[in-house]
Amino acid sequence: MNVWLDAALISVIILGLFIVASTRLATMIQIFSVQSVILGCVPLLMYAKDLEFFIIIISLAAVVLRGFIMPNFLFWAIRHVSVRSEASPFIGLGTTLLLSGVSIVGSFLLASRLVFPVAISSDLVVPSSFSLIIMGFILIVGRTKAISQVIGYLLLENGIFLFAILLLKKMPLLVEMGILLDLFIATVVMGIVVNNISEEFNNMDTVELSTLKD
Amino acid sequence: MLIFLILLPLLVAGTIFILPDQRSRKRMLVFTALLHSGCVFSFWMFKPSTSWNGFLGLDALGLLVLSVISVLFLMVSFYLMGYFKDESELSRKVFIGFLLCFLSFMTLVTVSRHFGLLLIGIEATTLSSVPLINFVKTRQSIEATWKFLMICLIGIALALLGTYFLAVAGLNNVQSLFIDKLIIHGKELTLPWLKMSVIFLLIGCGTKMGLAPMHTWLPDAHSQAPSPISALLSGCLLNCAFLSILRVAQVCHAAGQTPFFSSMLILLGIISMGVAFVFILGQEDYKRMFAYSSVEHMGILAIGLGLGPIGIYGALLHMINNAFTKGIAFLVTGNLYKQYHSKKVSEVRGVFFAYPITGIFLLAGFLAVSGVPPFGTFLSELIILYAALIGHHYVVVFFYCLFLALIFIGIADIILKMLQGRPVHESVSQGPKESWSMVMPILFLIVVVFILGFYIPPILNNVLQQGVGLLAG
Repeated sequence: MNVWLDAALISVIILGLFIVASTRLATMIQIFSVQSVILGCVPLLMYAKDLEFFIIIISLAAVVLRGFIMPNFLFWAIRHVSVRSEASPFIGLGTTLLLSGVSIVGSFLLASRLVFPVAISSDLVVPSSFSLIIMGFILIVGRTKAISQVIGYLLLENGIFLFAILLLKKMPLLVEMGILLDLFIATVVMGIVVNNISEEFNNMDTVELSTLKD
Repeated sequence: MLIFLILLPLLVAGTIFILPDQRSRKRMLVFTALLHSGCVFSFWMFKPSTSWNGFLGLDALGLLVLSVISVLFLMVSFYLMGYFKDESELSRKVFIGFLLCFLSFMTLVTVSRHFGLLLIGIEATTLSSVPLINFVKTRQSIEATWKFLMICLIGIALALLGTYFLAVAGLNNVQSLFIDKLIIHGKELTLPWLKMSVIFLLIGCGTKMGLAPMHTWLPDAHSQAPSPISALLSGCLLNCAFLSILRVAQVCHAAGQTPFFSSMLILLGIISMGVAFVFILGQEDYKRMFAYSSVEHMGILAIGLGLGPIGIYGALLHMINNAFTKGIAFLVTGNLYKQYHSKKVSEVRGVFFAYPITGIFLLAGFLAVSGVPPFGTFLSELIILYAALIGHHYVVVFFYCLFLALIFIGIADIILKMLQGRPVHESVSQGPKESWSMVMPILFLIVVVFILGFYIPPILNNVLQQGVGLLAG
């Protein structure tokens, strides 16, 4: 039983709930940054007994990319627009929190059914990763501001990264790094498009993106 | 050799981004496309060896998709010689640079032998096509780009999760994501995780491929992108996504899970055809109409893939036919847009009268898209129908024929109205005549699809059979 690992995973879920429950964009980005830093340390905690060099590198890369560079980039994006908070989400805050709670319960149920083929250091990894993924989805679907949707996507990617940590020793370094890099580029491209949206539409509300339909 | 094929467009793109000047960019684009297709042509004679520790390799399926991409890209690059007239220098530089990156990443998708690398390739194609779709920078194109980016990135994220599940399924024995190793140890994969992974991969790659109900980005992106880009999206990008689904099918076949996978494919295929029919009927934008036709044809591919060896043969053949047909259709819409300055069906009248050549091409494109003999699409759709019939899938046969017929009527109604009569505005017929570079590529594609309708070269047949062997051998 790895106490520190479990503590980190639980705090990651709770921070996820904080992100889902807040409407100020700056707060969301800050909490996302903290969550990513904790997440970046999870590989170190999980493989604490037989630490290898490339695991430290991946941890560092995750902390720097997800915890610092991407949040800064998002801050740069919201500095260019007047919008500071999510005024009118599709799904209200109460409902969002309720859905997130249900999703956490569902993740634990699902994870208890799926037997992981090899022994893993903590039972919490799989359910926390599933709950982060579903919370990301809730954020993408329930919010109208483009930046909130980007944060939702990043939350979803954090969940997937958490799952990938389980496989860190089995998968080549190349692929892991590639995915980290890809995520970084994806954020940059999204940020640029968000800026395009805000220039053209005077704010970054995706509700206005509705001229193309049948 | 394979690395060269991936790096060549990237290097040329880098040169274009760095060099300050000038008029040689289009020529560099065409030259790269020629060199690329020359290399791919040589692969039909001499099979390239696997390289880069087995990460890159070319099998029959990859070769088919790669050839389609290369030929269509060459035609589009010829077409662009005449298409660009009045865009600014800077935007043209960005455009051609990203176009070459797009080619490079699509090549990467076709030659990767590792699921992780495959997904990186697919994600890279998404990102590099963003500046291409958002080329004109109107409100509509930004909206289309946002939807494309958001939906496709989420799709790829799900596919990535599916890939991790696949890795978990093989954690006890395979311990790798190399396609060849997964196929060898197919029977030993842990079943629940394999099934989860297949579902996630199908949803994720299906999003990119434009299968309904995950297709919502497709009509917007296709209608807002410049027409040559729509042709590439429809003919190349969707096929790349289809290739990744073929890879999943290979693993499923090796694991003995084909019935499970086939049922999902057929269901998604029929839904796609139905959705396409609903939105094609009375469509007001002719590019959107062709985009929904892409959804329909992706549905046909999915159905064919789900119907056993004969259906797979039909699907592979249809993949080639559909890519070239969509090339014809979207390049013709490029001509139309230059002449009529409108994407609305109601404003395009009398194409035969004002622009006879474009009119004939539009007619040929319409016939090929809706699978009328003697075009190749007819043959491949017939093979898939035959596969459904001898497999006793009568429900599939019913919906397949019904939707094909209804979609034919829907498209005919729109296209024939556009062809006949006189132009609404008098000024239209004084517009620019088609330059040779906007005629020859379309003509070439029409000839290819026409020939494929009654003659399949033995060498192509051989590769198609090999492909079927990989998926159902």
